[in-house]
Amino acid sequence: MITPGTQTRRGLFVTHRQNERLLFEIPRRELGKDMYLIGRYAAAPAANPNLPGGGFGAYGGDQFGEQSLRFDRQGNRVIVRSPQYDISADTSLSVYAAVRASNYAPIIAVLNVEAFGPDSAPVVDVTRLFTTAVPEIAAIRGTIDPQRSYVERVAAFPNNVEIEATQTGIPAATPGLGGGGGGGAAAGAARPAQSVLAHWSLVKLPENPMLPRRFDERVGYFSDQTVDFGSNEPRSVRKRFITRYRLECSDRREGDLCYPKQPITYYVDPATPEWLKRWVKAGIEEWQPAFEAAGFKNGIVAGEVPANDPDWSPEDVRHTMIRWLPSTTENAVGPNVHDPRTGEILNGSVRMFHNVMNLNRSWYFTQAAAIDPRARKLPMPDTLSGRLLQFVVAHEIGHTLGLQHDQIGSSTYHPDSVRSKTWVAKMGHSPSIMDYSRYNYVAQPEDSIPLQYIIPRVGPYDHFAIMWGYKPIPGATTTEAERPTLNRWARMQDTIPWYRFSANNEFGGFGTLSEAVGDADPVKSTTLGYKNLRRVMGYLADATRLPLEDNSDLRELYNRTVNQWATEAGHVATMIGGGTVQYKVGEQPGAVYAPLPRARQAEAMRFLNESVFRTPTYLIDPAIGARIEANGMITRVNGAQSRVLNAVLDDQRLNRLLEQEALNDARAYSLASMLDDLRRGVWAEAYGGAPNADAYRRELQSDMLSSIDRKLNPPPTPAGGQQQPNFPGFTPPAPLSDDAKSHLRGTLVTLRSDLQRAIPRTSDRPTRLHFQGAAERIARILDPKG
Amino acid sequence: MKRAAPVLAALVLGACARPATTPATNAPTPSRGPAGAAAAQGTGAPGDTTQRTRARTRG
Ligand SMILES: [Zn+2]
Repeated sequence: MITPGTQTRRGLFVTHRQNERLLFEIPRRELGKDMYLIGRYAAAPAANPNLPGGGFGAYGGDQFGEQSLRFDRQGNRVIVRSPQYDISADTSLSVYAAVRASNYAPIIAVLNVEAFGPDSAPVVDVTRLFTTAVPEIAAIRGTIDPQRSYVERVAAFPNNVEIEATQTGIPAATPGLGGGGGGGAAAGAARPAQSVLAHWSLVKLPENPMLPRRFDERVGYFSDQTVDFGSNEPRSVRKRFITRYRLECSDRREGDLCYPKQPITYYVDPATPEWLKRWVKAGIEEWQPAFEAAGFKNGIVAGEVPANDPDWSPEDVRHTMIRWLPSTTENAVGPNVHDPRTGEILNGSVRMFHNVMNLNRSWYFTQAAAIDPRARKLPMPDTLSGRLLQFVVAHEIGHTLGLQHDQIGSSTYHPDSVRSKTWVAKMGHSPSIMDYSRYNYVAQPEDSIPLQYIIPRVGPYDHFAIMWGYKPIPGATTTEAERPTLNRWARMQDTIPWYRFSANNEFGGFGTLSEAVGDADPVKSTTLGYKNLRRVMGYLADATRLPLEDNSDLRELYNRTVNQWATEAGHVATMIGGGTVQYKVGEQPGAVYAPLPRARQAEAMRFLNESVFRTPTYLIDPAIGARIEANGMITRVNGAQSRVLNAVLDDQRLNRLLEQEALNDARAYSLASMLDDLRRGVWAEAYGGAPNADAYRRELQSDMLSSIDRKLNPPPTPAGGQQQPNFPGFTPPAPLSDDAKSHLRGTLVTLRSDLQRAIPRTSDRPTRLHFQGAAERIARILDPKG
Repeated sequence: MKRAAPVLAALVLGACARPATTPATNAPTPSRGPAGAAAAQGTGAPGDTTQRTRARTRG
């Protein structure tokens, strides 16, 4: 059976390559064991960046599949199953039989035993698992041509087997998308074949599973879960545990710290542009102090890719690599692969899209050019671009360590703090690199913040979170036994607000939005941000002027600047109907959700009326407009303003205002007061002596009518129902309440009579025509059939 | 098929990336590319993250 010329490798399985065939000899001790198969492209045709949707595609290292596997022998056959872990019970309990009977693992393949090795290890031919369209395994979803698909390589290690095969096939049509993989073929047209070099890591899940650490919503970890039917409680119990690496102390110590038995090792992709490698490495090492907070010396290290080891592969599940992808996408991601039974992270996979550097450039210019002269001339110096990249790398590493976005982080810092040199040196301008806090746009030039503190760093929250998730708890041998200590640690949040966590505040996102700095007081931070944006407008033309280049940099950064302005306004808008959140357990008294007081909500509305809905003339630079476009200024400014207006009129916000009023009565900012304030602000000209609304104001005022029209007279849903396919478990938000609609109608009725009163004293012709048109339009909105 | 939650683990969700690469829906990005699974790292609208965390399924 195993003939001369066969290449044999020994490891988890004994692998044999015999011409085109790949055989696994499965030692008896590995039968019935929990294994995991991770499929990634070693090489693939990425999407054409010039096509819509061409950003995310299939790059080397992208994962195409993840599958639990078990090899069972049944007579002369080996059954390949995919066990599931969604429901569980202790195997010693009688209910385990019920759980097992309801958890019958799907069969991926049935393989005939071709021979038996020593110790009656079955030998099976697995070639077709990797060269045909086995849906659970294949790298191409669609048809696969076995004539053009073949095994390339196999390597066996003690706990894993690595397989590589070229697969060629025709991907199934994916509706609605031009398609990656060099695609873009229209539906119905003949689709071209694609080839990929697919890599599978088959790894045995630890036979000594890691002690799962119980998930707690107060600390921002990703989690996995199982429903336990073996609990003593008279109900099923959902058990969530965090995803984290296994980190255990060795005997070697240094002071209070221990060296880990096995440090968490990240590799810098050798394909990274040379000048950036040291910054990627710095992004890895930036996490070391966080692991010191968890008691580990060198808990995380940068590893060296061996130069001459043909079996070393970046797709191997044992290797966590920061991959560099030749993509125009302005983003980066940090997924991980973990043991579904315990949450133990087996592999992190940071994926850096090349053009994330352009996003950094835009952010840094709009947010920091006011305080950092290096940003005032493109291209920015390499040391700055590299440092900005380090920030992104460190953020993504945080995800692969198990951390979610700590979006609430920046709202635990006051704008006065982030202007203080001593504060930012010690605390950063946001407590967490996992926040979407970006660069310090609140600090003013006169604050003289040292330049290295404008960029987010691994901060106090990150140290706290890594401590909470990774610090060993001596004496606790079960997940339950860890709970008192974990609770004690989490309760540090009672006195240290920046240890609190929330990814998404249900109060309309208050405190948990993107690109916010110092948003403990958004009115103040945005006021300061706007002072800086005036300065940035002054730097735009010089920064982007390159003697031999066209004006596209000017156009891009101008639009980015206007977007930044709207983003900062949006932080203020979340105060209306907003509130704070601090997750608590039973022993912690007080509210989890607390609405903002009336005065703060009204203050936010006032700010929006004065500083956002009033035409921001400092953003309108006719000279820039004349360099970049024939027309578009009104659209640009109006787009930014109406983004904020629509945020104020968000259905959920209006519903929430009604509820805050119902629950808190006189202490709440009522929906009626808010709409009155908004009407008087947006339509301020109609309430003045000689109404004169400029073109931007007229456009914004019309937008307010359009927005209310859509709410009162929503367009009919097309027949057949163009229903959004919702993610399983996703509950769509409640629709705008009838009560809120009545309030909106009332606003229009009042506005119409106010306009009719204003028209006779309006001598400015465009304003008068606009008021007349608006009054007629309101009549149609209120009575569309009339 | 088990999936990590790369959508939640991105530097930007929604608005900041280029419109062409950011379908702003509450649904996960449809598959694309050779097998498409990797496309799940497409970005989504901000605000839907909680639902997604809770909706993580296996099977
Ligand atoms: Zn992220």
